[in-house]
Order: sequence, then C-alpha cells, then structure tokens
Amino acid sequence: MHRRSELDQWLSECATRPISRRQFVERALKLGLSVPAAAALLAACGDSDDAGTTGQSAPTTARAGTLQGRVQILVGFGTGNAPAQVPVQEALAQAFMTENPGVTIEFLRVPSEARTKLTTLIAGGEPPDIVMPAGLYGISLFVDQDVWLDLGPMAERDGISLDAFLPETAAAAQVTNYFGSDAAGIVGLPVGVHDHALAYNVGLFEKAGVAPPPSDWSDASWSLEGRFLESARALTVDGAGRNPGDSGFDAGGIVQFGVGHFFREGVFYGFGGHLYDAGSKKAQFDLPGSIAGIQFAADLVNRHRVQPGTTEVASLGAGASKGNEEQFAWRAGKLAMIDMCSCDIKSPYGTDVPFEWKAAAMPAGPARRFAFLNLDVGALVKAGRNHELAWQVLKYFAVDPVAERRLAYESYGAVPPLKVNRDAFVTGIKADLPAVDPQVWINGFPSASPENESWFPAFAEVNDLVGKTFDQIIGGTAASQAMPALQQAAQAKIDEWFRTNTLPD
Amino acid sequence: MTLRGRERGVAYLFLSPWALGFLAFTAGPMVVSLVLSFTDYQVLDPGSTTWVGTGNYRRALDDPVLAHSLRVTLLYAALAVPADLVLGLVLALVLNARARGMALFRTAVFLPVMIAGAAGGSVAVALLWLWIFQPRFGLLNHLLSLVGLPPQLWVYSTRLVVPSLALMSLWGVGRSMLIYLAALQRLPTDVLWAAQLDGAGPWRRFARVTLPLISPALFFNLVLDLIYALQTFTQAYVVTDGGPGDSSLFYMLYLYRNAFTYFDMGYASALAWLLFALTLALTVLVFRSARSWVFYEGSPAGR
Amino acid sequence: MTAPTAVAPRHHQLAVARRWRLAVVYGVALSGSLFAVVPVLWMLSTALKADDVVFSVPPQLVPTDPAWSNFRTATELIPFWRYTANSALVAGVGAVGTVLSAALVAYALARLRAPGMRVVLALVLATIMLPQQVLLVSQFLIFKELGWYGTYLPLIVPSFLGGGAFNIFLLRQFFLTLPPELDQAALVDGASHLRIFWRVILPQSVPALLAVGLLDFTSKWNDFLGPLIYLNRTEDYTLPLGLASFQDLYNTSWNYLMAGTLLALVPCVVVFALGQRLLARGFAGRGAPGLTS
Repeated sequence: MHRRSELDQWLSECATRPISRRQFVERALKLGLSVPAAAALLAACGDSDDAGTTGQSAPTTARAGTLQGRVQILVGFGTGNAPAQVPVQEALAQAFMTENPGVTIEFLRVPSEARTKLTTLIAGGEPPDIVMPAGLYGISLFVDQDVWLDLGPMAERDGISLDAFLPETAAAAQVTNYFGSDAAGIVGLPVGVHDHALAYNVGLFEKAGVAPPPSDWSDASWSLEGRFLESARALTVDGAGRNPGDSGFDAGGIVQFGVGHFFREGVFYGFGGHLYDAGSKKAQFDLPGSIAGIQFAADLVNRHRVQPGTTEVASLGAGASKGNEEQFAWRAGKLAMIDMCSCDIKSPYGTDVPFEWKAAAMPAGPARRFAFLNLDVGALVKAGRNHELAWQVLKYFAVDPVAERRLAYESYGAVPPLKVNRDAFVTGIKADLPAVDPQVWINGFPSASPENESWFPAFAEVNDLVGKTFDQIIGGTAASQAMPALQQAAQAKIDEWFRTNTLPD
Repeated sequence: MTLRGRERGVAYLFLSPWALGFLAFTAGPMVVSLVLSFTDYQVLDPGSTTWVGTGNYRRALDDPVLAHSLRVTLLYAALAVPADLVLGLVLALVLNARARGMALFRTAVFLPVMIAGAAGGSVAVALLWLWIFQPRFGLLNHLLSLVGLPPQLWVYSTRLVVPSLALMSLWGVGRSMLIYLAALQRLPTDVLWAAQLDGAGPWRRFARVTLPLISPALFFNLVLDLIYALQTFTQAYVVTDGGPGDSSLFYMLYLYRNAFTYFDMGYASALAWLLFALTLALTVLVFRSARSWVFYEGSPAGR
Repeated sequence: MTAPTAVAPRHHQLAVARRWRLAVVYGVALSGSLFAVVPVLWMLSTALKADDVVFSVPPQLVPTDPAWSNFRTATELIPFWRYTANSALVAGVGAVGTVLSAALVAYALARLRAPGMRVVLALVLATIMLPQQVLLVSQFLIFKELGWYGTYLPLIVPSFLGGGAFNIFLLRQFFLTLPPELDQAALVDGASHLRIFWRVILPQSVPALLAVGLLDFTSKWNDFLGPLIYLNRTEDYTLPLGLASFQDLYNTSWNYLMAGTLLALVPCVVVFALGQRLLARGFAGRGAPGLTS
C-alpha cells in the first residue's frame, strides 16, 4: 500500500511535469516495479531526456499475451553462469513469461567449452535460439560460418536504432569488416560492455616521489614514450634500489616492476598498429606503426626492463594458475602500474587489495590513445527455429531499460550499453566499492576500441599466427624481422579465405 | 548341431552386445569421418562441401606445424609410456605385499586417478601441477634446492615442457598399477613356491616366474598406454594450451583446433585417420613382438 | 642332516632379510603415496582458504584460519547433492553395464572359436585408435535421431553394449590367463558356455572385474564431455559440469572449486575402498606373503 501511494504520487507528478528517463529508472528500481509495469509507466510518462531513445516504449506490453513458443538461451560464451549471476537472469525471464504466458524461456547453461557445444548443437540440428552474453571474440569466431542472424532488418522494422547504445558498442556490433561499412548489418545487440583503464599502486608512487598518472584521458603529457616510460623506469627497482639505466643495475634481480599485466596489443594499437583493412583486403602487419608498436612493447620488457617477461612473470606469481601470476604480483605490491579492466574491479585485482590503488587514464601512443573495449552481445542463431520470438525476447533483455540495467550490471557486472543506463555502472560501483572511482573507466570509452576482437577474414587462424609472432618478438626477435613474415603468412590465410568464401552484400 | 557349430553360435551371441553398439553408434560415424577426410567439410556449413580427394592428406604431409606436433607427441610417448609401465609395476609389486596398511597406500596411489578426470578435477589438476612446477615457490624447485640443484622453469621452458607433462602424467600411475595388481592377485603360488624351493633368489623368481606370468597385464598396459599417449589432449589443452609458443602443441591439440576453432572438419578428419594409421602400425609391431614375450595359459591358440 | 646350530642362523638370516624387505616395501609405498597425495593436500589447503586469502603472498600452505565452512558453502552455491545423485546414477548403472557386457564379449574373444574373431578384436582396438573428436557430430546426430538428446541414455546405453574397447580388451587379456582346464572340465560335464561363463570364469575373475568396475565408475564419474554435449537441463547435470561453474571468464572461486572437487572425490574413494575389501578377500588363501617379489 505504501508502494501504491508512491506510485500514485509519481503518476500525478508525471502528468504535471516532465520526468527525466534517468529519474524514472531510479524511481522504478526503488519501487521494485515489475519490468513490464515499469515499461508501461514509462510510456505513460513520456520522456524528456534527449540522451537517445529506444524508439519504442514497451516492447513486451505492446504484444503482451500474443507471443507463443519456446526460446532457448545459451549462456557460456563468457560470463553469466556463476552462481551469483544466475538469479537475476532467471528473475527477468520469469517477468517476461508472466507477461507472456504462452512463452517459455529456457537457459542452456554451458559451464565450459561453449564453442564445442554450440558447434555440435548447430551441426546436430538442435540449435539454441539466442546466445547471450556472447563476447565479441566468440562471436567473431563464428561470423563467417553464417551462424548469426543479421538483426539489421528486424531492428529497422521495429524502429530500434543502434543510436540508443553507446557509440563504441554500436560500431562493434555492426562488424563492418563483414557486412560492409555502408550496410546496416547487426550481429547482436549489446548487453554489456567493459573497457580498460590503468590502475596504479598509490604508495609506490609516493615512495618513489613520482607524480601519479592522470585520470584525465585528454592529458597529452601522459604518453607511452614520455611520462609513462619515465614513471615506469623510476618505479622499477632491483634488490639494491637501483633503477634501470643506473650503473650497476641488476636486471636479474628486479624486485619491483614499474608496469605489469599490460598488454602488448594495447601498445601495438597505440602506435598505429592495425590488423586488417577492409578496403584493400590486406593485413596490416607491415605498417610502420604496427612494427614500431610491437617493438616498443618488446622494448618495455627487454630494453627498458620495466615490465617482466614470461620467466619473471612465472617467478613473481606464486601458487597462482597461468594468467593469475600477475594478479599475485600486483597484490604483493610488485607491480606499480597495471591494465585493469572494468571487469576486474570486483575481482582480486580490485577487491580486498592490501594497499591503496587508484585508476588512471591509459597512456597515449604516438598515433592514438588506446584502451581495450570488450563487448558482450546477445545474438540470434540463424539455424534457430523461431526468429521472431527470439527477437522479441532479445529486445526485452537488451533494449528495455529496466531489464537491461539489471542484466548488464547486476548480473554480468558490466557497464550497461544503453545510453539511458550509462550511469548505472558508476552508481553501482560507488555503492558497492566506495574507494573506487568508476568514472575513470566511463571517461575512457571514447578512447576504447574493440579492434582486437573484431572479425576479419581468417580470424581464428591469423589470430593464432599473431599470438605466436608476438610471443617471438617479446622473446627477443626483432619486429622488423618477424613482422614481414607475419604479414606474408597472414595475407596468405586471408587470400585463401577470399578464395573459398564471399562476403555478404 | 555340432560342438563347433554350437560354439560358433554362442560366440556370436556373446558378441552381440558389442556388435549392436558398434554398428549403431560407431561404425557409421567412423565411415563418415573417413569419407569426410576426402572433402573440405566445414562443420557449420555442410552445404559448401566439395570433394578434394587426397588434398587433405597431401596438405598434411607438407604441414610443418603437423610435423612439429607429431615430434612433440612422440617425444612425450617415449618418455611417459616406459615410465608409467615401470613405475606401475614397481608400485604394484610393493603394494601387493601382505603388510599392514597396504590397502591405504593403494587407495592413496589411486587417488589421483579418481581426480584426474573431473572437470573441476582437470582444472584442479592443472592448477596444482602449475603450483608444483612454479619456478619460485613450487614444490619441485623447492625439492631441488634441498639437494643443491638449480631451479628449473618446467612448463614455462620450451625445452622442459614436454618432460614436465610426462612427469605430470605419472601422477596417474594408479591406473596401470591397478591392472598389474589384478594380475598379481592371480599368480599361481605353487609355481613360485617351487621356484623358491629350488633355490631361486628373489630377482630370479621375479624375472623368470612372476614377470612372464603377468606379461599379459604388461602387454595390455603397453598397448593402451601407447594409444592413449599418442592421443594426449587434456593436459596440453588445460595446462599449457600448446605453449610456450608451440613447444607443447600435441597432435590432438592441433587436430582439435582444426576441427573446432577453424571449423575445418575435413582436414581434422584426415589428421585423425593419419594418427589412426600410425597408432595401428605401432600396435601391430607390439602385437607381433608379443609372441616372443607374452605368455598366456588359457588361450585357444596359445596366442 | 644339518646340525641344529646350522638351522638357527638360517632363520636369523630370513628374519633380517624379511625386515629389509619390509623396509623397502614401506619406503616405496610411502614415497609413492606421498607423490600421489601431496598435491591433494594442497587442494585441501586451498579449499580451506577464505576468499581474500586464496591468493595471498607468500602462499600459505596451512591456512591460518581454516574455513571448513567452505565445504558447506560449495554445496550450497550449486545444487551439489543433486549433481552427486545424477553422477551416481550415470556412473553406477554404467559401471554395472560395462562389467557385465565387457565380460561377455571378452569371454567370447578369449575362449570361443568362430570365424571373424580376429576381425572383431581388430575392430575393438580400432575404435580406440581413432580420436573420438571427429566422431562427435555424427554420434550426436544418431542420438538425436533416436530422441535421446537431453537424456542420460547416450551416456549409459553404450556401457551395456560392450562397455568400451578398453574394458573388453582388458578382460580378454585377463581371461587368457585362466587355465583352459577349468573350462574343459566343465564342458566335459556337459555345461553350456553360458554356464561356464557364469559359474566358472566370472568367480575366478573377481580382481579383474573389480578393476574394470572401479576404473569405469571413476571414468564415468569424472566424464565431462559426454554430459556437456548430451544434457541440456541444469538439473540433470553431473558433478563435473556443476563444478565447472565455479570457473568464470573473469573470476574463479578456487577455494569453492577445490572444496567441491574434494567432496566429489568421496564417493569414488568409498567405492574404491569397498572394492579393495573384496579384492583382499579374494586374496586370502592365495599363498604365503612376500612371494610376489
């Protein structure tokens, strides 16, 4: 009853003065409104927020009760199956089913090896209808196998524009290398996005008397070859407290590194490196930027000695599995700066860390300032049996503001891609982890790019080649030698792809 | 019906469960995969399949990555198989003794086999062996330091990764030990008594009496260990994923990548049948040699 | 006739030799067991760590504040007991099927003569020589056509149809070691082959049958790929699938994962211990100790 009166008050407010979408969403959550009810109210209140509209107000209530059938959602191409994440997904599905009694939504939870399962199901004639959340990398693996339904036509028909989403996520969802830059092809609707920022150990910077990295993403002085490298040098010490470059510096006895858990691909892109150019259909590993970029990444390890190489990483990380050694080292205070994904904030990288850490902007390379963008989408399987119903369900999860907010942040722990929900991550993290400033990650979005997980021809094979070549270069081979060879091998694979496949028009 | 005829009928009857299963679930798929190896079948796009004849096989013979993966696999087999055979036998002999607590030790040695398959297990196995192999804090380097030897990089080293994985496989020695134990339990003790009375020392008794009598178990373990070693996949996939670089890229890992990452099921099928041919050749060799050292008491043809 | 004094030193020698042998036996047994068990102890140590301690530096071998509650939490975060029951069903029924049908087929291969036996043996072995990954899609199609997708049938039925080449081959090898006189005596008495199989061969083969049963139970208990491909409802999942959900792309709950894995071990250990008891009973009366070395 208390709720009732609040609701009445709100409705009357709506009638008398416009209510912003953001305020609406906050109120709706506080009142614990059911999702379809909230959507209906939103339609009733109208919106005065010009931060982008979804183009339609109540996707489910408009067709309430008329939808029939079963939709299976495969979860496992990334996150989504952890015990803590499941209840929200189930609750949202339940709400949809309550409004549409003829519909059954099933979650097919694949704890591991989702790729094998999806392949077998499709080849075996039992495909799921939706795959959600699907990391862009996983999507890219299947793009040229004609697995994903192009959502462009249905989006256009229903008036759903990708403008409703953060521009970086929209661009990623369009897979321009495949559909073409003019086409309106959409491989999936964004349901969660992460980007990367720099995290630094406050105490180590203070102790070394070095100015901390800026949180301002437009700070031009914070560059890879400039202040970043200097800071890293000053923060790398050997057992006797010497820095690289000091006489007598013991490169074999480094006890603290200026930078770790810092991805070579990021440096590569910062120097203007690229993987593929759709116009010329050529691999881009022979670009000066590509070569210089990966060389600098290798130099950080081998020449400047500010970042640990594989053997040092193995030694620094004790008792941790592969991939977690640097987490260990970070928590032990042995790394002054790391790349921290927004997805890592709630992991041991960011939680219960025994020292004070802060977030900062990624340093800029000579060509651009680059941060990784990791996008999760909800995609429809082309081989699925009921595209229309699956589309309705996907729209509910990805476009309905209330549902999307809960799904993206509460369940996946990500930044909701809908523009209208873009504050959810900040408010959420501020509430859960007051010491962290989530705005730094939000400010990083204009610099973030999904290039490393975006499809191009022979995606899987070329990525394997790139990985191996980069390993070699970081291991000591000169980029000027290894990259031309990579260019040749990669181009061969790409040409082979064009011989046996064609792009859709 | 003649006695022979009856025996034949019963033989087929007893074989029928296997025959049914084989025909229903295995024969078809095997034939299909053989046929697919002559095509460029893309598992998710069957409509585009074309016949390529021996193209896949010729490609395989020219594939340097494949040759490398074969070397990796053979090296691993050469290390892991003899080690497992010998260690399993030693443990079985020792743990077969009638002494207090042997049942406990047997359970302990078999414990890893009970863990090794679980997914929580294979991740857990990978994790804990990475801890054992850890260069700074790991158990192995700690032990080495106790005897004054320098620390090693183990699975982080391109040289040592394959031997390290072979060492890790020894952790599952309980499986072959169990088979030896079953054979040892059936040893006809009268022969052993007779040997001892004749004055044969323990080594003689072992080499001349015990070993031949359990040779079928040894033969079995050899054949199966060999087949499984050539098909090693899980350790490579979970622990190293072929790394560092490609130094632990096992044949099966490369095959799996072709099938489920590149979706080139035609090529993967060809690789599978090539491995089959190799395994068959090696197995036939072992079978041939078996005539001279495997001793059966109760086979119809003495074979 | 040896003088009494010559007998005493012989006994003494034997006693000393016996003690040495026991020392060696225990030495090897202990080292083998340590090699096997120490990693398991480390799993236990991880299982007992609280969330924030799992990755502390330096790693604590013995957690200062053992969180035994992790075991309970692990069983609460996922429907652990349900998964255990599912695993027990698949592994238990499957192992029984395997033992029975593999023994039947192996007996035929070892003891009975008929044209084509060699071919059958070759085919049996051939099925393990071919990597199973390439058969995955075809087999899935077959099971799907039968309507078995989403059920336990693809996991259990093949056990009753031969139980796998490994087990057939193992039992065949074992049956070959049994003296043919046993069969022949029974045959002369007019027994049918089925009777011989059931009454004569099987009782003699208890250790091997137990080995097959234990290995098969363990392997089915831990099977991940089979349930992953053929099950599609979370409530049907077996333990390995359930435990895998502790591992996420961004985050793994190592402590709960280890706790769950250790708990999942318990039924296997129980089954093994029971099997050992039966093995040992078969051992009684088999001869004097120490003769096997």
